[in-house]
Amino acid sequence: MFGKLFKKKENNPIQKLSFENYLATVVDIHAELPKSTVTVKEQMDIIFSDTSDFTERKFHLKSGRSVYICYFSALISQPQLEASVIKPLIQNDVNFRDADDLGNILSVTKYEQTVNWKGTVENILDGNIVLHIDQLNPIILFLAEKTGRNPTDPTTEYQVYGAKFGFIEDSRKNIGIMRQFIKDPRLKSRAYDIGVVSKKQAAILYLEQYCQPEVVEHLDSLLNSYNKEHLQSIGQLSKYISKHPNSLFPQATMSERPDLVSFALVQGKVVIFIDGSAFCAITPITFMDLLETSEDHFFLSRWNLLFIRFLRIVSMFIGTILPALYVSLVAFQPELIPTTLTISVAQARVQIPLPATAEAFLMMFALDVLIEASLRLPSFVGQTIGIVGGLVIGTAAVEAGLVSHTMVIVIAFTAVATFTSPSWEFVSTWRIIRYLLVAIAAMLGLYGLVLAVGFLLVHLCKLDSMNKPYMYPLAPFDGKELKAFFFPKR
Amino acid sequence: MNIQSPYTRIGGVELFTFTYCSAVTIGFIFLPYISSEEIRSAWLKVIVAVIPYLLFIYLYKKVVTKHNDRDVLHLFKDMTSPWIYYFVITYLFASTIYSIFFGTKGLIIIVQTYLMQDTPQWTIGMFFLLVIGLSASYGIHAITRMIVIIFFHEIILFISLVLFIFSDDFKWINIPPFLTVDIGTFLVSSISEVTRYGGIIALFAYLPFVDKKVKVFRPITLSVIFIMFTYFLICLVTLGVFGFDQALTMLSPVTALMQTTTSPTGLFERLDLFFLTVWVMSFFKIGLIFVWFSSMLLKEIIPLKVKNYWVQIWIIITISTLIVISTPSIVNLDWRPYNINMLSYTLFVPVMMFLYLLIRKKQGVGQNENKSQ
Amino acid sequence: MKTNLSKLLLLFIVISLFAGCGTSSREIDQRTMILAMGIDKDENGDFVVTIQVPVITPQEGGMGLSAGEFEVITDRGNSVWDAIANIEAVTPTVLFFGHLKTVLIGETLAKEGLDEILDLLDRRAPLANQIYLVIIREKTEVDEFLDQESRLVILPALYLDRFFKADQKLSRSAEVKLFEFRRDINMKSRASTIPFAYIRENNIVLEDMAVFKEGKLVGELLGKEAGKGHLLKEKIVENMNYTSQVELEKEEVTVSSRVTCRLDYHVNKTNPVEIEMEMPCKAEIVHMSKQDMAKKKDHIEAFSSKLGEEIKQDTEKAINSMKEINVEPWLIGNRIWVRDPKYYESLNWEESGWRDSKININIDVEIEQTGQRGMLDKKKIGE
Repeated sequence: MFGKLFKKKENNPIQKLSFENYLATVVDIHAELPKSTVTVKEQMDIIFSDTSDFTERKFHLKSGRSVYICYFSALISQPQLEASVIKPLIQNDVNFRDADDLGNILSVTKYEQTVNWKGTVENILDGNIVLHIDQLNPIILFLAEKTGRNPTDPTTEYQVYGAKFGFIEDSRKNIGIMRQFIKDPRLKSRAYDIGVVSKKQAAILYLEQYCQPEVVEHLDSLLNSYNKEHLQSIGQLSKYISKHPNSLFPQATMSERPDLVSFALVQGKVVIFIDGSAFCAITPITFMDLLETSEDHFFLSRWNLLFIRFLRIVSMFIGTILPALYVSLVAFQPELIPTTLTISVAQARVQIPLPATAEAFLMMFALDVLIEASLRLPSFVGQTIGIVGGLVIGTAAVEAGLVSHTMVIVIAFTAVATFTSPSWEFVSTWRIIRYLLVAIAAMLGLYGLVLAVGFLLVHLCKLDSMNKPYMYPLAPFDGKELKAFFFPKR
Repeated sequence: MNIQSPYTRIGGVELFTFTYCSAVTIGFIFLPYISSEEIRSAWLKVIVAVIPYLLFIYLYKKVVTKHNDRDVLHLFKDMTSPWIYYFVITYLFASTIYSIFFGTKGLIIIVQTYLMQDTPQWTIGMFFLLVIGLSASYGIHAITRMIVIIFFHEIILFISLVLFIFSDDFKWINIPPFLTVDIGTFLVSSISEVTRYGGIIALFAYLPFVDKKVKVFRPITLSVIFIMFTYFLICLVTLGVFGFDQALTMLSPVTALMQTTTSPTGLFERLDLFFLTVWVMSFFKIGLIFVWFSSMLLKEIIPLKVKNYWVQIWIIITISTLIVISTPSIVNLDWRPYNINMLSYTLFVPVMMFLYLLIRKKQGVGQNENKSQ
Repeated sequence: MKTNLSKLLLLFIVISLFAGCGTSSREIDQRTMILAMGIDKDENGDFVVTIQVPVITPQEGGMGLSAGEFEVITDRGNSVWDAIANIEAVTPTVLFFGHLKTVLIGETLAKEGLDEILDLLDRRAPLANQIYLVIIREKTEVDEFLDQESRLVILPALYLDRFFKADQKLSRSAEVKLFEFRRDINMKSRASTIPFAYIRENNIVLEDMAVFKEGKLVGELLGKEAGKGHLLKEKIVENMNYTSQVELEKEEVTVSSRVTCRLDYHVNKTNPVEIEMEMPCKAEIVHMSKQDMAKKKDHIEAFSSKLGEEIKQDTEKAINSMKEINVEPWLIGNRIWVRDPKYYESLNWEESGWRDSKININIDVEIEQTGQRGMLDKKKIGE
């Protein structure tokens, strides 16, 4: 059933995009490596011509057999190569008859014999070392030591109580981090190389018996059939695995917090890590999941959690609907506003040249520009932008008679309310919807707004993430789950 | 946690809300005193009027248990001659279109009266049908889920009606006497109220989608009784607040009812407009249900295997839009033919169908000469 | 879902098409907000309509209203709607009835009948059912009343709104909303009441009730009678103020009190009807010219019987004044009808049933509080 839905995506990888073609011009990619070190070196030199960081070393054993080692110098651990490979080889005088004999000499944790050219080249690119003793099969020494950093405090997902510990850019290490959080043999991982050209390492992590096996199988088939050249970010991957990629709503979420991920794993979700990204993708995700964080469970009182989640839902509504509601009330149904407030609004608006709709669009746009501008700036400039923008938009615009006081209040409150949602992606979605709703409210007032919200709801109900309905447990209704969301068991 | 649960199922809660929303809207807004001749105790009428539909449900249940098949339409198709079947289905289809048309007209008059006085009716109607068409093409699962989510609206309404009984505006003195006419007149005038429950006809197409394990008739019956309670409350409260003579003249007594309250919160000056949004949403829901239902009927009529379900939806939307645009506003329309037709297609025809199916032997046993498969 | 985006696009294209058509979009500042409307008739039989609108001017340094910022516009016409149309011609923006709080009707017009006005008010959907009806006494012109600045509240319309919402002044006057008036006028006795208002020494005064029968002003309930009317209709009235002279220990003592009364009807099915009114009242003494009197039990009893007497007299006065003009605005007829419609028919209520009815009032006053915070009657022993 799953497979059918996604049939169109499961094409064969496009072979010509990979480096195999390039390799084929030099060697037969499926052939074994020759036994002669001279030939191997010659061909390696052609493959990695004009590659300054490609390093080769050649020396002779006491017996006079030539040894050839090649690797990328920045990707390996040089002291280890020296201590556990070169030293033993030079000091010992053994007559190797077989590549297996090397195991008795070398103190390397893991090595294996090469199979063909393709695999060998891939291994070199991966930071491993090729060791070739004349007339023996070349072997690969797994001595890669890539530059990485230590886990640090997560910078994008601030929390009050959560662990001060974030993922790094190495998918395997990240899985290692997760193993520290969940010590259970059922914590399974599967590894992939994604991207026909860039071959990014990715892994999915899940708790067996907690998550639905279909979801894992489905993800497995999706990741195996990824046929684009590159995979740059986790976002690309999320879009790729989403069933409704054109929907405004995210169907996977990202996190850089191991505590949040372990919470998600226990909830039966599947986590995808890729190299080069300190964020992992979590799927399947529902509407409610986007409103919760693992940190909510840190509260000592259950009522705090209830309150916070309730607050988030209400804020989401306010943040989405308020400007549209304001526009429709001011332009269509002023009877709804209390009389004294109506007079105040009218007084505030009397000298504003723009209609309320334009005013709303202007302010919303200004707000979003401000957010976008300050987002990527270094913090010291960001603060300046914040102050300047706040002053200009807040005070100067009102004094200049461009926008009314009430509109500033509405937009400011809207902005603050939306940011209560823990997922930035989700906030952005609602931001777009806000514009659409204002547009409809400007044309058909409250009536249009209600119908638009109705359509939005049907759309949300149609969505699903890995076949899990987006609005679950609200619809399909599951009282127990719903209670657990607001008021989890002790 | 319950990971294994299949999410796509339609269960009891869904069935309950679907039944409720499929019937309640028109009654909600226009009750009581819809038809041209009315007696004082409309609240008594709605209670009596539920009985035929309880019978409807009972017969439905009998048929389902006898033939062990929830898809009554197909059962009927298998057991009768094709031309009768197509006649009935076409009649049902035409009637649902008529209901959609009438519902849209009802919405238009409400919106034009209370929300947008200067907007032409085709703008309101077309926008409504357009949004419904877009939403309905998402399919029955999305519709069902949406109805469940928005059901809190109905609960709010129900609670506010109950609260009205305790308000100062509500006066018990306006309610009695309970019965000033003889039983015959009373029963005749109750007939128009019977049609308020007619929406549950949509269950014909809905039940086959419901999870096989779910006991279906309990939620349906509960839902119908809940509808009855809602109607009862509306009639009672309207009568209690406005008195008979004034309530009689109102377009939408519930809206007028909400107009009489001042919001205690001060957030909204006039609660009636807030509730109007609830009405619009309510119309939206029933519109979705009926457009979907008629698309299912259309599928039966047109034997062509149309791959995309939204083709049927858009056929229906187009037809309804054309009718809505080309007819005058509801003020000039008579409720009577609508009520009679509603009565006939939601009660008379189905009950006949049930009775026929009950008389016929179980499928496959013995004969059948006009098995048309 | 491939169609998602295209669906949204389609939606927007169609909506933008709609936008071109005339919808009801009209900004707040393009509407002339009517807060109160006065309707009267002049000598020529033309309708005089007066509206009160707040003047919307931008405020320096903050929002909100300041005193006197309203304008009163008056115009005449053959019908109310004509007059309103004439007013519309002299205002820059469209008249907006959504915030209409109060409709003030001139006494002259009220005497001729309200049916026409009620119909107009009923047909305007933006009008809430909760607008208040007030009759302006003949001595005050309607437009003059609307032009009156209150020293307490900025807009006279809001003054009335607040007055009625405050809900504490029922003993003199009671609010009547449009729908209530319409409801009561449709009841068995076809009568209802609307409060009177006028201006006395530059103050807005709301007291007395105008009595309507079949839409025409036919009588009035003055002062405390209005409060009794409320009691008879709603079966409860709170916080009536009474000040009476009581003779205690051969001394004239002035006692002021606040009384809350309830009422229960018992109908004896005779012809003419006999109505027993049980009236349990609870009183609170707020002032007494002699401090030390309040404590003694027999003093309190004497006072309560005196108070009961006065309330009873006022009630009887109210009933009699209504019997005189043969109007029954308190739904008493309805109460009888509800219990026994056939019996009600036999009474011929509207013509003679009410006038001939016998009403017995059994009043029972209980002093709940003597209103003393201090215990002033404590005696000193020794020095």
